[in-house]
Amino acid sequence: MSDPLGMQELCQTVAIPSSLLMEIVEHGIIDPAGRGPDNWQFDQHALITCRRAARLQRELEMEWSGIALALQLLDDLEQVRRENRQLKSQLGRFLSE
Amino acid sequence: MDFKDYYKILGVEPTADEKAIKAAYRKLARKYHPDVSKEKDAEVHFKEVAEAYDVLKDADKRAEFDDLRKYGQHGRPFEHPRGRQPGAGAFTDAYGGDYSDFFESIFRRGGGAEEARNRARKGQDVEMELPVFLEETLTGEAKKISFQLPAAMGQAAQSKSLNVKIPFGVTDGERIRLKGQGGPGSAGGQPGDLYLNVRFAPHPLFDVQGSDLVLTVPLAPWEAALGTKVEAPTLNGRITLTIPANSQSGQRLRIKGRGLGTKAGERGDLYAQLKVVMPKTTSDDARKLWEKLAQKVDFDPRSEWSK
Repeated sequence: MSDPLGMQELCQTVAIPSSLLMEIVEHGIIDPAGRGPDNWQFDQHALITCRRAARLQRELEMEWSGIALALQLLDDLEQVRRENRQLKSQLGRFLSE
Repeated sequence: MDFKDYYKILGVEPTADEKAIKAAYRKLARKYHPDVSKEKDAEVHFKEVAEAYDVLKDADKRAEFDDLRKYGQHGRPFEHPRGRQPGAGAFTDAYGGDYSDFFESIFRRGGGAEEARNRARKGQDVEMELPVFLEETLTGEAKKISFQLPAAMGQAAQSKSLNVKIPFGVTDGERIRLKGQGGPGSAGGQPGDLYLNVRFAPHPLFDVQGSDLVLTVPLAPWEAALGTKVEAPTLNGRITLTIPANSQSGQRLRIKGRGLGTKAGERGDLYAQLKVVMPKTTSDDARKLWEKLAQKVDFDPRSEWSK
């Protein structure tokens, strides 16, 4: 897997100003390792979440607390859909003769 | 190039006010946003909607579009009636510059476009699904993928092939970023990134439960009653399963370490889920044996009901 990114690299990759990243972290949308912005480290999952958050903010004009909730619910929904798909498949094998 | 009726795309009247346009955009943007939507072709729809809003929310751009709309006819190729003049609308680029040819022909002309062309710009990111067979999650082998790269400004789109190593312990729904494998940058800008969304392909035998797998094992009633040994498939090689006597339909046997890979480099477990199956036809001899069982065995499968 790829190495963690510092704050500058993350902002460059996602194409957002650092002020925006601060807000994303402050709202607990992503949780960097390391103390203080200078030492922050972001893993691949944080990068991808940050990218989704920035897109929702820009393209759906959402507020940060709404984005935090939306991302949480979207992840939950995906998890539930996945489980449902798998359970349906299992049930199908069990029922079909 | 086809004329695009931005009003139609947003589903509003040409007389709609700013408020109505904004509301229509917001509604459609939520419906088609690629991070939110499960609709087919969500991304294509979303880009169209974003482009329409980009024009209609801006009074200058909207005025120019209204002007063109008088000439534009559906079903006929569109040509800008005034040729290539500088557009009235200022060129903004909130959406990564991925506009239709129609949009470009109206708004990306003159100085703005030149400026944009000379500025180093990072290439566009590419996002795609990566279907993965369960077997592939164990071997760490490379898988060849092909995809379409978005065009950099002034270049034709091209396709690209890549060998992607499937990481051991990858999970369904996981996103993988491949740095620099997206669209080419322009004017010396960095290339975009490739984002892969891992999707496990349904397996003919195994179901996934986290890092565990479930295999349904059909058994004859006497196999469940007397116990037996069954040769069973796993993702890597066959194993011998010992079915204990008096097994129940639905019961699970755990086979340690024969599941999917985990991030910690270990293996989940395989669960053999037993399913007692009746033979399709019964001969007279078999029938007599069942009758004998019915007489001799004291068993009420519905004892729960009489409580």
